[in-house]
Amino acid sequence: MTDRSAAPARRAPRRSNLYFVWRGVLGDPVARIAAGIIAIMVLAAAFAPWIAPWPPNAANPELRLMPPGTPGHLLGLDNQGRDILSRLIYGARLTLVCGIVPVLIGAAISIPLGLLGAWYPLLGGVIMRLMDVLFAFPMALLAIMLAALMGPGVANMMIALVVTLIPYNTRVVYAAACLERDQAYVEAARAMATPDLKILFIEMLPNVVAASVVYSCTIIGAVVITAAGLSFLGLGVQPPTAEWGIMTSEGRSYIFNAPHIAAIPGISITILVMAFNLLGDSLRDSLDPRTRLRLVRTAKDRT
Amino acid sequence: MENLIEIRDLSKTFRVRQGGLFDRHTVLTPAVRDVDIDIRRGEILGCVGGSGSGKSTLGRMILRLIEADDGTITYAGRDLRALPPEDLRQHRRRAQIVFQDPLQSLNPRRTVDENVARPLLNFGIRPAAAARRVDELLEMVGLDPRQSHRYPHEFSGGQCQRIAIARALALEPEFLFLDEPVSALDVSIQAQILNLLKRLQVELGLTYLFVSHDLKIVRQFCDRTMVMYRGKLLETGSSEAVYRDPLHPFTQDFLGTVLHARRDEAWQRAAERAEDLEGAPPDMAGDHCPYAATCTRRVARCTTAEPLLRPAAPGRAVACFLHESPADVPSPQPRTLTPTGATA
Repeated sequence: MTDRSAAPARRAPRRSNLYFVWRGVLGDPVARIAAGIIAIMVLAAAFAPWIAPWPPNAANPELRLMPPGTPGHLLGLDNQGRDILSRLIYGARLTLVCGIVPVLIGAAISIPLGLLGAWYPLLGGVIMRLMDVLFAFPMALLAIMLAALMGPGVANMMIALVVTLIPYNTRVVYAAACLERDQAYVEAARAMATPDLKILFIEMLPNVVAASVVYSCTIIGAVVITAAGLSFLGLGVQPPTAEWGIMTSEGRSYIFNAPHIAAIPGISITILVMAFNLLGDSLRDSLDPRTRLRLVRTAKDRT
Repeated sequence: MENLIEIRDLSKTFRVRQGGLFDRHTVLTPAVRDVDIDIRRGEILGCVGGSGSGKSTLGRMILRLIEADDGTITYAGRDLRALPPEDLRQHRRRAQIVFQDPLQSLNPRRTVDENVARPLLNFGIRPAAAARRVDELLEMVGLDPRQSHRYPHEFSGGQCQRIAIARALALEPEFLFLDEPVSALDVSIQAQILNLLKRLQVELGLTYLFVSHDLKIVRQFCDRTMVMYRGKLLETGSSEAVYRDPLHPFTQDFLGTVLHARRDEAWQRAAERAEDLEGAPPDMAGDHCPYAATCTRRVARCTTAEPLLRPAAPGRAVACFLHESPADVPSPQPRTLTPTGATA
């Protein structure tokens, strides 16, 4: 079954977390599809100039509003006669960056906040009340307010998104950390004189990070949509830059006579969001030592 | 034998905030009240009592995992409660804990060797030396070091408890607080773990404070026994003497419920009395014996004053007016005190 039985005298190799994430994702067909979709989107974004048949802003006004299947334009053309497939490929760049980077930065800030808040009750009270203040605003409204204060631009929009995301992720981490805090292994860590910060970031962090990973994957969808909303209001990505959210909102005026202009980037966003959600589920399983062995075993049985 | 730990008047009251936004009030829950006990070097002191009797709190105060409110703990001649941070860190090398639930006391996301090596790394031992020591420790508790790359959940409860014991022994402590170390295990595994603990105690010259609600185990395993009820220490003595001839009415009821499998009516009533730990607290104001409300041998003084722990026989002490002095005993007792063999 395993290589351990073949050579019982030798220590079985240490498996890293990455190995289990890799095996876990490959072992789960749904996660495999999700990871494949994300990989294709990332590759398309990275190699856009080589893949895209047309430059993203090259307009051919004679063919404007033509539906998918037009010769030379697989997914049709938009209201200015720009090739939608090319814009989709180029747009994947900003869409992925605007969706993923704020979530990563937000998680990097929220995880320490949540852990420290759970460990030091007074600090935790202050942090969580601050988060409550941010919670009082709807996510989109807060992002609009911050982006408007800082002025338009992609960087400012991402800062606004990070600030918007922090309360959600902090609360997820805080709740998970409060549960872990009362576990016996944390008390054991105190009994063996582990310094507070080591308890938090060596002992507790691996146990709370799963909740944050799953949540982060779920929230990427909302962030993509919020980023699109900000761009639509002129606070984020500026036209004519290709970005899926802008493409969707630009296409809305033609929803009745050329629905594909809005539908294609909209469906792309939906697929992206779903892929991240499904991947998040699988990541949670592969990050947990209690469930991931089963994942690897079923993967082995299948092959 | 010299005393390793001397505890005097130790008290701890937990403050629990209750109520909503407007009606907030703090409920005081006394967990340990005025406990006096000595733990001798090299002995196994058993601590019995129902749930909520303060057994675990007492042990955690010795490890300073819970800070005491009042009283003193002297550990090897030093006042534990006044240790500066660095000395407290060093204290952690000398006193360790084994928990009730073995699986929960190990970090589920860390492999066994990472779990066991953590205390070594905390005290500046280099990773390579720590790894060798981990193998040594695992062998000492009867586990295969080749399995140490696995995660705790891949081991059985008994194996996890062995791992937890290995971790507790990593820093070569002299005192172990065993907080119901076998309560979560199967009966057959219990004996193995107890044998292991006994062997380690002899080999390494350890001192144990063994908390359990399983009276049979305490009787076999422990040199001396202390009986707690609602945070008060009611009775101490050698295990043999306490079990053969319990002095305090609570001990009699408590032992009777568990050890004597008589199924008559008297047994039933005694069981109900002894089990009624968290039931309605005695409806008495001021000083009174903690067991007065349910005690069948209550005298008038029991409801007006609190009996102190007094020596009752050589090596024994009891907090009960019935045994304070012969003059106080209201009626002649059918039992006889047997002081022989009472010293630990």
